[in-house]
Amino acid sequence: MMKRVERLHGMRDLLPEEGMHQRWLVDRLGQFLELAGYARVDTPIIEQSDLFQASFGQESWQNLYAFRLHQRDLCLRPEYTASVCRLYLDHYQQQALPQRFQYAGPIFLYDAPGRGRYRQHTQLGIELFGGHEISSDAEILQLACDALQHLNITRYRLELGHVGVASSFINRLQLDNHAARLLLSLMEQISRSEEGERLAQQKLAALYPSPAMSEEAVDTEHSAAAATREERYVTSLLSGISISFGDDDARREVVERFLLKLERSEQRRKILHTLEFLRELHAVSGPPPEVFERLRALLDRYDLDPAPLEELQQLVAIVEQCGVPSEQIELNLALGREISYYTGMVFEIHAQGDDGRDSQLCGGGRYDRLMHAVGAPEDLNASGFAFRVERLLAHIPGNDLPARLATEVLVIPVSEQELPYALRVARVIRAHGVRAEVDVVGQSVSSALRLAAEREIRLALIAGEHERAKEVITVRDLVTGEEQVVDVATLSSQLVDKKKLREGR
Amino acid sequence: MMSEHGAVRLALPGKGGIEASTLAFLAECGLKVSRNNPRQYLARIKSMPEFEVVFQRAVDIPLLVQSGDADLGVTGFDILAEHRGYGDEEVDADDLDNELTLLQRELGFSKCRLVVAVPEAWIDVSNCADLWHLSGYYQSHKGRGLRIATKYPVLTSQFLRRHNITNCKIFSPHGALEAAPLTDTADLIVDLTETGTTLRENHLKLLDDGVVLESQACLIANTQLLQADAQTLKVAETVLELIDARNQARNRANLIAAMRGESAEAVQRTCHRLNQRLKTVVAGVEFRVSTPEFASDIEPGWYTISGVANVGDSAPELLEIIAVLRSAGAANINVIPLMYRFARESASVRALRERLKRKS
Repeated sequence: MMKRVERLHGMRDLLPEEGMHQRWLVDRLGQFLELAGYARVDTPIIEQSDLFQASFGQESWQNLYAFRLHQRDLCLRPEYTASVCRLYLDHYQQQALPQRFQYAGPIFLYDAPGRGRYRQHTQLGIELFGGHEISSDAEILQLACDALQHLNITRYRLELGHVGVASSFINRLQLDNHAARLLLSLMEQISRSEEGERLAQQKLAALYPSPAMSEEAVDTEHSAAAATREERYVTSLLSGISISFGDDDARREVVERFLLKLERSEQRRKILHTLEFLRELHAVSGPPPEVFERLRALLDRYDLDPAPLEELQQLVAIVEQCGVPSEQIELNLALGREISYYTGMVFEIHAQGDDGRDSQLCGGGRYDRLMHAVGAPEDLNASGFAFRVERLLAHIPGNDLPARLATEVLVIPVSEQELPYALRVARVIRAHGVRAEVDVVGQSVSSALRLAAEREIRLALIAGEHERAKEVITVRDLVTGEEQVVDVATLSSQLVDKKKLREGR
Repeated sequence: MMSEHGAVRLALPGKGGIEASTLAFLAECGLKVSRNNPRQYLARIKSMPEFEVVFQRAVDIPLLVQSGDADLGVTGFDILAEHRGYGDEEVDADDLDNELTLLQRELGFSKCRLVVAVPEAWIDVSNCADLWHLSGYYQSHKGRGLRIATKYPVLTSQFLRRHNITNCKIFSPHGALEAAPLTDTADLIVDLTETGTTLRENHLKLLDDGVVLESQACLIANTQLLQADAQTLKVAETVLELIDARNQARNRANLIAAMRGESAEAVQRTCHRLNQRLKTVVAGVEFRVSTPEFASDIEPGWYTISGVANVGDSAPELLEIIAVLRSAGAANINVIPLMYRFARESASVRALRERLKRKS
């Protein structure tokens, strides 16, 4: 029994029309970004998984398309940024800054596939390394908006945020690194939907379980509940006494860890506090300029540095200068991106599809610590963004997309003896840019003509014994029925002229 | 392959404790495997000559069935789960490997659990949340993730991801795992255990929520072969039918007793009162009059009542039932272990038919 090998789930084939649209889009945006100095690079599709450990949040890590080969953990790249950082470290470290790169190609996310959800996507984006913070952020934001303008996509919503606000809040609480990373990676979920917030809260509650008493009771020293809690810990300590702890270092470590565990309820309070703050931040999001006042008041109330707001104000001015009306801009300081490496400005561009569903076209921001995390001796200023090509295509007005280039000429050898001659004729006219196919069915001239008519091929070139001998060809126009015999040497220029005439050029 | 041999190939574990349990179980189901000597790799089942039995290591059986070199197979669910890359969790139906069909998740023997075990000296770790905190501690204090030794790297990494523990190194040594934490070649292990004794002896403890997978022997089949060949499907359904009926009969006994009464209706009323009282003793037993007519071999006025009870291996419970029966006036109480219990239809057979229908 021969078994049919199925296409992998979540993967799809690119058929001629969409493939052509993708290439058209990539070329168009690529040229546009080249004008701004972004050199095209590409990186291997497969990398060591470790590369993305630094760049991917704990949440997204499970979506890595990962596998093991010869005892190495490998993955299909889930994004480009970490790879481009690696590329920079491998080839450009000695060169003067700034460096500008652009890329376009497939990325892979092992999401649970559903209807219309795929595991392979096409990403196109830029990275700008080593520029001044505000200037770089302004440049990439401008390019993202202009790129959309360039594609006639104007109805979109630009969400603009700054990770600095939430992270300085978290830093001040002196949450440990592990907890801080988790919170930042959950920010996206929290700000996205109520359901997401609930899930994030569930996750936090599991990792920082409530110490079996109400929050108020925590403050009351010597409450009965607190006593039972301590008792529980002591019991677990006592039950551990018959245990061998190994050497002194091992014992010290376990004790240290145990004490850290006792502080966990304190950490829990800080985390709940942070969640509350993030919720407040999210609640004041809205379009500029009014929102700045409210945000300033909020930061003031929490005694937080307003510097990120000033940065954002400057950036909003740049965006408006690109012709983006302010009602299409939303400031959201609780905006967290799924990827946990961002350190400053972050942004997302969303548009509504025909089905009314929101789709994220673009995302990016500043990530000054990533370069160090993937192995550079120190941090390096960096910002960038990425477009999802498939989603962009869905929002480009259909008339703007190029039409498929259909075959213009079918060369028909009357018999097998004329095949070499027919092939030669095809070669000659193709050299002049005419799209020509040779009939390979080889049944009869009339069936070949029928086939050409069905496929709406305008001209048939019939190569028979007579034509071959005289180095001519019979040209039949399948629309008008006109037929004439033309010299091969002049055929090409005639065809090109006709084509121009038809296309009205 | 089936067509070459004209037989349906059934792969059975040929090594370890699971071998003996499988053979005993099949014999109970009326599928006794006859093997001339225990070193033979091929055998037959007399009651079902369609079968050709091949003995293989349990760990190789999923692949054997998947590739079509065997039509059916018995293996551990742990092995199957690791092989196919997921355990009991819901997986998008389209995303499944279509070659393997799980016919029966629980055959009822070779039970064990795949668990996370950590050094007992880790007084700060008692559940997976603690482990998440510890992975952060390792990263910040030792600059590395947790090292985890397991023979089940796929299930382990999925389990850890579900608990957000991502910075860890999972590796699979060939030797015994229990010693790895003691010798400091791993920080913790994910291993099979039945009772936990071996783990405790090696100064390891289980986490409160550290069960990665509950496992026992299971029955699998090659989906394409089931679809392609009517005989294979029929044989598979027969085996499933027998296994289902046997599992339903397991630990159950038929209780038959004689009861005096004026009429069948009167005895039926006695049964009703009896059933009420039995409800307080043990769940799921109901007695009925099985011979309403006069039976010639006993005295007139005696009726036979019967019921099926889950007596298991708990003799005291059985005696309580007997006490209730006696107090209602029952005599000659026979307790007969059930061999099979056939339901209206086999749930497994129906599930299989539905699955094949969906896939075709």
